[in-house]
Amino acid sequence: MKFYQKLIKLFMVSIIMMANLSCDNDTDPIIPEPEAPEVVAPATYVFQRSGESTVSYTGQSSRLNMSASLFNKLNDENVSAATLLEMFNEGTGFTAEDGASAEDEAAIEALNGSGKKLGNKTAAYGDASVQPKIAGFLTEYAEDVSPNFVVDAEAGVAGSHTGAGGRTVRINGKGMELNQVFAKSLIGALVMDQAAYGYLSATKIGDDVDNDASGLGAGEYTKMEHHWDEGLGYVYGQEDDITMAATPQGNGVLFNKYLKKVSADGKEEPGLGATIYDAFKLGRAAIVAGDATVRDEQAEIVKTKMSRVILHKAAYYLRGAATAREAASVDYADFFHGLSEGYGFVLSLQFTYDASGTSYFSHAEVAAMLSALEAGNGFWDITSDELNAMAAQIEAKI
Amino acid sequence: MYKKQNPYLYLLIALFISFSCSDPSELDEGLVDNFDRKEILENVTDNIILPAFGDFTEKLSALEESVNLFADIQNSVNLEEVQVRWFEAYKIWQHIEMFNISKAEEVYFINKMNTYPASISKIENNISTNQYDLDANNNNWVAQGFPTLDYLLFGLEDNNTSTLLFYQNNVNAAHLNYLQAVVSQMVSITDIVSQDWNLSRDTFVNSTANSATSSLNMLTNDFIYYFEKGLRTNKFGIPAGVFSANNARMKKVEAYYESSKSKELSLEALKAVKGFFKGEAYNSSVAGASLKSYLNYMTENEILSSAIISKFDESEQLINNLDDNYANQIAMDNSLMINVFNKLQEGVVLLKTDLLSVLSISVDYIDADGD
Repeated sequence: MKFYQKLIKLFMVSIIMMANLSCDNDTDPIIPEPEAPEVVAPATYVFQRSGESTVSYTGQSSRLNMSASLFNKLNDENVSAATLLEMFNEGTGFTAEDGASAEDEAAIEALNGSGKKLGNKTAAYGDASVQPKIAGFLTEYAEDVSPNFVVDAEAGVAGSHTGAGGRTVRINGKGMELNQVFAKSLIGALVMDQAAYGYLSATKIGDDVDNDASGLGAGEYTKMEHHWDEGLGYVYGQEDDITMAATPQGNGVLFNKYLKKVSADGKEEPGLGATIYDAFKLGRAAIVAGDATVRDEQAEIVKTKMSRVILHKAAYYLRGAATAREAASVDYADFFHGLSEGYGFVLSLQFTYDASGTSYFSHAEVAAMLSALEAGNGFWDITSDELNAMAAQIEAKI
Repeated sequence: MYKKQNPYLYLLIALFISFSCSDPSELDEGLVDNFDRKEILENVTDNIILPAFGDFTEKLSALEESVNLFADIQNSVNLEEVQVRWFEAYKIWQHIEMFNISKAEEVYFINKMNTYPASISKIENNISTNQYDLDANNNNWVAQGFPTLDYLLFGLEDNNTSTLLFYQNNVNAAHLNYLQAVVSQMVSITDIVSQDWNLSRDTFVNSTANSATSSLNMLTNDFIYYFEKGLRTNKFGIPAGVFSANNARMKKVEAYYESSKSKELSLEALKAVKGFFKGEAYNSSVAGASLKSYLNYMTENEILSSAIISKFDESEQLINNLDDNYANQIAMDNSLMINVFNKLQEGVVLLKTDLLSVLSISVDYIDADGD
């Protein structure tokens, strides 16, 4: 009781003091400008206009599905370069695997009719040499690797190699498994590049972009809203349910798969997935509320945090390859496989985005790393010291 | 999930007790694992491994005999005989594959006998060049063993009439030679492993310590690895597309060219797993010391061991509902294949986390990244 009495006394004293202070103040009272209402993110990524969803990213889902389908084709024996390039550049020619279910067949057919393409969205904002390099992985697979399945791979010779652990890899003469190289390269060159330098950049969500919602009907969206969703679509376009994606299922073969891994408990950065998801959510809410400051803050969070997935995994696969290389008896199939993933993540580094708005590693720096990995007979020659040094270079920026 | 019986918990309790009691000798009570590991090793070796190898060796020589007969006289009766012998041996193989230990591991027995899918191009290339080393070249694991026989017996043509015509045609004599070469390699490598078991039996059962290289630790690890990889992943996960972004891979079904047998093979594998866990003698339900009895001893109840057996049983029920032919099952309704995978995965968790923790055995393999 005593405590409350004291509190009440204190309260009264302060009121009196405050009243005194205001009494002393002779100037006109300053009426603070009403603060813009704080943007509140919804619980999940759900945005509606007159009861209908305004969120749409089907084009991104299609491209992610195309990546997965193309990735699968890079396991096939005797494929033609023309077929692979048609899928990549034209977005047609996709076929289901033998014995695919009717549902899968229909999904693949839908891709062919989607009008979307991977080629023109790959490294679109990057150095001009990168897109041809990635398309080149497809050609090289078709021309050098896929006709050589029956050849025992060795340094300088493309073919198959089965490791003691039972894994079989189909590799080029440098020991590179091109399906891995291709897919991991797209994580940077497609997903990161499109999100960071495309849809979440000033050109697509800056103040000049249309965001006038007046006159929009149910389910209609502004250009800016849509651009933001398209950025999101490159990350979550294959999730079954966007409202659950704070903890991603990891569907697909690109960014989302590794976002799940990196964010899992006990892994590189638990909770990173939720941070990215929340930033997407709040940024979208800010666009609806017309709050440019919050929008831009959240875009920065998305871009810098997404970059961490690539930094983590690039370092992880290089370290893993170094360890595999040092083993008493090296399982070369596992080594080539892991390092091929690492190679793609290293290539992806040039599409990352740091706090200053540039990539963590420049195109030239990445090109130097890739040359080091490819030098001579490539993965057959590289030493664990070189791999560890490269990993350390990346870890220094995490 | 079953609640973990953490050994550290016992230690903690014991420490607690030790602080509270005056007599430190009481500390040891209940802490030391007094279970006789040798009993398990003897039971498993004498009543499961050796009899299974005995049976398998017989089935393989019957297969070899039938192949030689077919090489002499190519008629439909002899072809069918080879096919029947192939399947009989393949079934018994399901009881062998989990023992990837010592000699088997050293000579890559499992890899050579049952790496699937087989590579048609590698097989055909070996046949046409007649230049191949089935023994020393890892890259030929996909061109020998049961899956290669599957291709040579069922995959060359659509039906037996055509297959017979194929082999009757002298142009294809090299295929017949390859058939014989593959079987003879299977026989000889099985002999090597089987003989080693007979020779090393005593050393094996007397290695009762708890270290990475002691018998029970290796055996248990191999058992769990087989359950996870050989059974869950290879027979269900990979063909159902669990590891390929949900794109089903029908051709990766075990015995793809005779896939009407794929269910029977996987049921046999599950039977072998159950039998091993319960310590049941080969082809009998007489049980001896086993992982199950060891677990019951350590936990002083049957909660965990029953939970594990339930996972086996529930998996079996799910498998029973599948089409005999897994390629058909995948085409019709792949989700049922995935259900089996998920159920087996629940078993993996109990085995790999709970069982190993209770028995204080450390896991000696790491998971592949899954892609």
